[in-house]
Amino acid sequence: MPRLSLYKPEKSADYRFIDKNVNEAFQVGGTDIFVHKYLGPEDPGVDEATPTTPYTRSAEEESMPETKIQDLLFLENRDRRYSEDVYSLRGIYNVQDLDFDLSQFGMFLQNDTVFITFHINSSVEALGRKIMPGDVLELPHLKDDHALNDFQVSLKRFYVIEDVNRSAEGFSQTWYPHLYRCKCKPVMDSQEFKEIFDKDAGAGDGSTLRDIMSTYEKEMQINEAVLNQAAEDVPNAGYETKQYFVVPTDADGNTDVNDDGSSTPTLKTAKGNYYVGYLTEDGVPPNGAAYGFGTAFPQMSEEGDFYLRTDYFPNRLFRYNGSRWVKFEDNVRAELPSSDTANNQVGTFVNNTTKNVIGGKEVEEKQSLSQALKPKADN
Amino acid sequence: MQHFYDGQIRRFVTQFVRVMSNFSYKDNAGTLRKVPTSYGNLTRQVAHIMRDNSENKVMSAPRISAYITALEYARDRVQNPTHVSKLNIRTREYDETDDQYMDSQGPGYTVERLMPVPFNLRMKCDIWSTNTDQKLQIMEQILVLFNPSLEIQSTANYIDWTSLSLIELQSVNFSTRSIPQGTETDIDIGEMEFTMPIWITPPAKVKKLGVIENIIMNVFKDDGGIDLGVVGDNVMSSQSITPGGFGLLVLNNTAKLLDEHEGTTTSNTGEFTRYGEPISWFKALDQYPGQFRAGISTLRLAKADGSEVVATISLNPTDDTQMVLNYDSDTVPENTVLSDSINSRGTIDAIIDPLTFNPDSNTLAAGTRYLILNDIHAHIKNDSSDANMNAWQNADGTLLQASANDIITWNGTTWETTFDSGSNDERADSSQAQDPVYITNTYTGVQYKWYNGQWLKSYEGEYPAGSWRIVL
Repeated sequence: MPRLSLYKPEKSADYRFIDKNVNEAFQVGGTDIFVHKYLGPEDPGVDEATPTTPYTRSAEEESMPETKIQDLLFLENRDRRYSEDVYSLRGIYNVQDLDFDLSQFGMFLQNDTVFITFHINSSVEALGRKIMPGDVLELPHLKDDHALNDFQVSLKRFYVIEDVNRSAEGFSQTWYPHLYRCKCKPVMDSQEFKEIFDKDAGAGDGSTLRDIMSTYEKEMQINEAVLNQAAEDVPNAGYETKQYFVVPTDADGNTDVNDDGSSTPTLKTAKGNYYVGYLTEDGVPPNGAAYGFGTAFPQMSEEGDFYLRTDYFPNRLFRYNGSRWVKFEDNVRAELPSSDTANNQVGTFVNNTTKNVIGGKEVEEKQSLSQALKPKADN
Repeated sequence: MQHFYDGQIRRFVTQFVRVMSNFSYKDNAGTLRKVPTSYGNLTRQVAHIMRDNSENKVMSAPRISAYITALEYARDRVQNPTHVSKLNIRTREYDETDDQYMDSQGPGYTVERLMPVPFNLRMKCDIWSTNTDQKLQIMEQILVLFNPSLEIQSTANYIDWTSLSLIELQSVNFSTRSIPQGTETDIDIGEMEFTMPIWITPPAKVKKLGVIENIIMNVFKDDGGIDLGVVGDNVMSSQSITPGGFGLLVLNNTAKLLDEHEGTTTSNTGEFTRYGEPISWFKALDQYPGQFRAGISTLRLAKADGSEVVATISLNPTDDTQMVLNYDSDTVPENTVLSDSINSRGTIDAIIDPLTFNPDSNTLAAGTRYLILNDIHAHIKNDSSDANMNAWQNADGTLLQASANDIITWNGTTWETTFDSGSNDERADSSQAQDPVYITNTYTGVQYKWYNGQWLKSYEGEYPAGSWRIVL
């Protein structure tokens, strides 16, 4: 008679019996958990691949499998692909009270880590593989139907699996495990989960999950409001002097107007009695005097005419003195902070969309220094 | 203490958030996504509102958060705390109807600014990212801006001398995570600390622009002393310096500017003729602080007694060398009452040349007064030829004898000399105590003054620099 042992080297009928019962217990007592299956990182493409962000897909593979690593230097998978299908599993976890933790970025959930257990065999059967970190879980029983927003859909609760191991409680008398224990954290609307939050929210208005679930839109609106305030306070670099009246003076300091028969005084002296200061020149004549602009001086000009040359960088305002065009001022008041017309290094080096035709090819002026004029393969 | 608040630090924080905004990262698909930036010290209620009051709302990352960590008094930048800086500003006229600035001068202001208080504003910028590559993308964009610092402005106001500051990067903590991370994975925050030297200012004083309109230089004799005061009262010479040094020619309710060295010629009737070129009034008006308002701004002409003749002014719309005057009658000299047998009044009916004018005593009303420009019957021969001179005869056939500049009155039967210019010559001497004689020609409305042995227009005429002024 063989000795009695619940452990057997192979998974026996005892194991299967217990496993069925465990599965049944999950079906009866567990909650639905929808799994957004992680498929693997985004393919960088053959042209963009580098040794540390390689193109490692084999000829047979339609895309990079979940076992590949996107960035071999920083060891992270930033751009993740998720299955279009949603898998339904049953899971069990302890619901716990949550507290909010107010940080500099907003309200985080404290005690936000939950440990969910899944039946191993049924989950593998459903997913086609072992559940793994990066899989995103959706808990339909935690839908919030009363969130304060204008949407007609409930807010779902999403978690991402961080760690997976076998649960101690899931080992049966046969010493074989029946349960996975998944450590889950609330998901973020981040680069990693872009595919999930780009999905339609089902509201019927084309809004995405990001529109409904994420704080991003509200944060951008807040940011935009602050930027508008900042632009109102300081629309351009430097100081506004257009509202000030400049008394035209001659070389002796006396008031000087062109006695042209009209009642409008005309500036006759280039810079006398001017409101000078740091970044006050704006390329606009003082006192609202009329001026033209373009890339070539006009013909038949009269003394005192102003003209803004837009082919100068920064734009330069000239004044005709009767025989030649004399520089009056440059427009040194750049837009802030990110305009490509800004007269500063940011405006000319970073915010640069200029393209040049060199050697018959169109070349973008703005290039990373490490990539500029890099030699091509000539083998 | 009265309340004041200008939101000065708030504006610097606003601009700091602006500097930290508009950064983005690019994902594998080449999609750019902006990173939202906000102030870090938010309240719980707002944080809940941002989450739609639901724990299911998903936080977005990456995020940038900026907030104040310290505000310290900068003793090394302390300057004279009682220093007051004055700034004189002329503004352009503003059209309230069309909401736009005009090309003419508006009100002038003097702004007094008290020395502001120096502070160092320390701010922190936290970058929450979800992966290292993302963090490096964001930080690379930020870090190149501070070489060694970045200028920042809190306002674009030219007169706000506290608006300019700079942001200096003090330190960078690449990650708040510890390595190894262990069992817990905290969110990854990169920290940057900045310092801004700022100034906080009390309110400014905004006053009406005041400029010196007249400098009077007097040269005295050297007989001054303690008993006479520092200087004596004998002025050797006096010179007024005014804006532009313009003189003024006032004729027929019109004022014209005279060049600093320009003169006039005067005829016997008080008519003035200039020999310079007309000068635009804008040359003078633009130098005065304030906005010229037609019909409201006034021209003030100094009289010998120290008082002024005041007239509201408006520019001739077709000729900006002429200012049209509308006198305040209360400031014009009163006519001197001249009495005769008919009436007492300070007016005459006409100024006539007796050699060409026939009064026709048959139709002449009693009481008619004339100022005559030539002698009448200065040399009577007392012979038959006198009979031919019947224009200036009395009713009884006797002849009127009068001198040029006399005022004569027809009393119905005889001519009376109401004003004898010969006996009033002493009025020409200003040292005489007698009052000057003012009369008004009712025919033209022009007032005349007996001065220096001749009739001159009373307040009309040439005014040298310093003897007139404009109040805008």
